[in-house]
Amino acid sequence: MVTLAFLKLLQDEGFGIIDVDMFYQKLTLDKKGIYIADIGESIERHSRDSQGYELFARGVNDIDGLKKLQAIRSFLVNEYQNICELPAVPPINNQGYTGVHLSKPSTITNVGLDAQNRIIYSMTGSIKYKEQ
Amino acid sequence: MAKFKSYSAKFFQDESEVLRRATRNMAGSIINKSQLLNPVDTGALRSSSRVKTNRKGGHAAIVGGADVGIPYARRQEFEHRTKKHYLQRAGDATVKQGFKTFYEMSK
Repeated sequence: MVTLAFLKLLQDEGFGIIDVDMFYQKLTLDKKGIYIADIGESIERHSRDSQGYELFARGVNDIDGLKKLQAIRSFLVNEYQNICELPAVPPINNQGYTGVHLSKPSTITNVGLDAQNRIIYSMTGSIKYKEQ
Repeated sequence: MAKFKSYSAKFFQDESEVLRRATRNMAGSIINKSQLLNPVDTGALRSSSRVKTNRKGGHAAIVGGADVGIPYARRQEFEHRTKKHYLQRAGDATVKQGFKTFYEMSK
């Protein structure tokens, strides 16, 4: 669920709107935008938990998805050391997360063409966090 | 005489666990990507993939398709007119990201 809070953070920063052009755990064929998926399960790391994530982008054309992901990456590269909390996502999660430490995101990779011949791009990272 | 205590056994145990987790995460990432690349009709193929790990050998395998009742998975992977090798392409993209990415993520 921490990845949903992370998606909410990106929404608050103006990168899109959840369920309109930002999606959690699934991206159906007719949708375009940013999609976040967990990598593996959350693991305990000392007093915090750690969760890997992967952000995918599919745009209206081949460049649009890349531009969206580049904008998010440049925001994260500048801010990942300053982000200590992730917001609540009511009514799913009313408390948010503290003690957050984001890793520097990976570079952007071209995943390939999807079933409708649109290029998919992806980027990975991890989030360490404490549940409130 | 000087004495010291070696924690190498604990170190190797921890590192083995991280490597196991990194391998599993890499396989998970391949599945995430393949779900976006595979041809979709009913969605059964897309949701059939799972990661299976061997704790002794420390390797991960992706099972899906025929193993879980989707008999046409192999044909889609090798024979689809335009979308073949969806799993291979997902694997290639994950390899491009590098093992280090997943190792750091799993620490």
